[in-house]
Amino acid sequence: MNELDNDTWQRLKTVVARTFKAAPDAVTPESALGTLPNWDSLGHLTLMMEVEKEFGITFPTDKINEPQTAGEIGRLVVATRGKN
Amino acid sequence: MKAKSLPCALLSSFTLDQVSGMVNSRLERDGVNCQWFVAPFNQYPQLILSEPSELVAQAPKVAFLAVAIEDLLGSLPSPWAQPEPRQALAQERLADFFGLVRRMAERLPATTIFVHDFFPLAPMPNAVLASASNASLSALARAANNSLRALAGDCPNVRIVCLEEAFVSLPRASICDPRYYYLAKMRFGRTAMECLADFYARLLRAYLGLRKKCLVLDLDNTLWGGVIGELGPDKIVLSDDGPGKAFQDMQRHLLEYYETGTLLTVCSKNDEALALGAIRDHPAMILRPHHFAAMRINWQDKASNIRELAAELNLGIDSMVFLDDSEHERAEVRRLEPTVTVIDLPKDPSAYPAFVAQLPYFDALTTTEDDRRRGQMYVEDRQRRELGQQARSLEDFLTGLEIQVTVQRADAMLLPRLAQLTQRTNQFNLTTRRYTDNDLATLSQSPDWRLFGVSTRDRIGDAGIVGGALIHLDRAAAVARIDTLMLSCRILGRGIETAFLAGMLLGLEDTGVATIIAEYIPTDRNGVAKEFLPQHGFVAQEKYWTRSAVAGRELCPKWIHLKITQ
Repeated sequence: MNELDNDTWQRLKTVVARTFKAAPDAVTPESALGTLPNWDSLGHLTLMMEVEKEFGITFPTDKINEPQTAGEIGRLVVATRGKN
Repeated sequence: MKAKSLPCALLSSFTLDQVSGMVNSRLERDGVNCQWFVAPFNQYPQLILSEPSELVAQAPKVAFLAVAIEDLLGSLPSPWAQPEPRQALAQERLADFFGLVRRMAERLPATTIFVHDFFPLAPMPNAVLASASNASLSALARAANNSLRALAGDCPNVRIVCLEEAFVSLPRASICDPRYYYLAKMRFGRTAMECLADFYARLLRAYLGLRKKCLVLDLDNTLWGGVIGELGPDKIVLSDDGPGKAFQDMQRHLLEYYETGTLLTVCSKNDEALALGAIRDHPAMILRPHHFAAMRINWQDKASNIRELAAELNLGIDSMVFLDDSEHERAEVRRLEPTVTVIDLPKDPSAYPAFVAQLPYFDALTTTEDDRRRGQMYVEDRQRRELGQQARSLEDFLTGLEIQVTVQRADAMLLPRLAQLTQRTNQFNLTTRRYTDNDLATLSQSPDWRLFGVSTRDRIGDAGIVGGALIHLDRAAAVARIDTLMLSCRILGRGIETAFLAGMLLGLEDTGVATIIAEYIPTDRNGVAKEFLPQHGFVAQEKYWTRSAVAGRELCPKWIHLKITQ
């Protein structure tokens, strides 16, 4: 299991907040589709595009819809960063 | 500044929703907030055709219609097995699509509709055979684009979004991100959507008339390579061939801005005689003295020079764009005049031409005869000022100019220029109401409105259409209300505004109005228009000013020859 470090989480939190126009403090590792306004299925893809840009990484197609929460996205970032 | 709200619609055959938010963030600093109606995925035909239609009910001012040729023709048989049925089916589907665009233009006559042209993105098999085929997707797209442009020629509210222009800086094969295409039918990846949003923002600024008016150009290492004071005029880097051609190519691009109505000026720390000599005589120069509306070649700081140039040309300092290779000069101008647009030129002059070609500040949806002649008219203004300094009295000077003023009812030819004046005129403008071409086309169809343009010429030259007025008629009450009255500041001080009022009142005679009502809405820019109403017999009554609509030719100054055309 990949550990989500604080630096990655802080950057991710900012991206989530910016994408969904939410307050950064409203974003937690448990935030998920449906818990923030605009985080619907299309919003999820928009978020994944923004996360890819922020971290300079490319998720494989079959991983893009896999993570369900902000925390899981963070762990996917850590795992992908190792491989890209 | 309170943001101006602009209702917009986005209809597409693929997922493009994200572009709306990207456009809004780009227009924030222009004080524009688009209120988007984003049509559900691939629902554009229903929204265009249904009765009643949610799209028509939204009454957007602007609509974008993005339909990919792959979505229209992707399911056809391949070009190799059945080329003829493929072409016949393609014609049918394209004709259906063009019918939809026409229907949309009819149902939304007050909406400016931007339609994507066709730009196949994915590489196709058999590229060698496809190059020669009439049935390949590229060949079908080329033919369809010609038909689409012809259609836009028939429908004044339809405009083309040329994707080749929008994506000019991207490798074509990178535009689609196949992962997101297969997951969610997004035909454009994130970078491409950002690029498209840049282009949409340019179209919207052009639609709103938000363009900069004047380029302020440095000379050494900007218009030519090297420092002329050190190298001498023969040794500057500027030529028809070799590295010096980069400067020449950039000058050609600048000339194209001049030809579409952007004023060019020079602001250079230089020896004036030496620099002017090179502009006049260097064989490889493209821009010559007569292209420059004003120049400041001296050792003064550039911020002061830019302020002086703006004042001389009667422009707001925020309509100036500054182009200079020196980081130091740019930082200084940014610090002292933060509303001037300061451009960071690339370091390598070879990159100048492509960079200058992509400046997003001078966009317009149409170009008028006045745009083509604007630079020349400013040069003529300079000659008039010089003549004024020689005359014995003001009246002698004015009589000697032999001024002719023509007031005309606006016809279709005049509307784009009139719309442009409502958008560009900030100073002599009683109400500063902004209108688009489409708005004015609607008003000009109404019997309750009269639209006037005023043009002027004199011994020195033709200043073209220099002002206009939009008059709302209440025939039952015999009252005409001046909704908008504006004049280019360049022509003030010669009685032309008075002649215009006289001509306009004569042009309203047949309507039977007895009283004319005007208002003055102050802004931080239109102080110069404030005295117009009291000086011309209007009497203040609470919010409004009124005067009799009856006036003869005697209102017109005696040194002006007034003509009225209906």
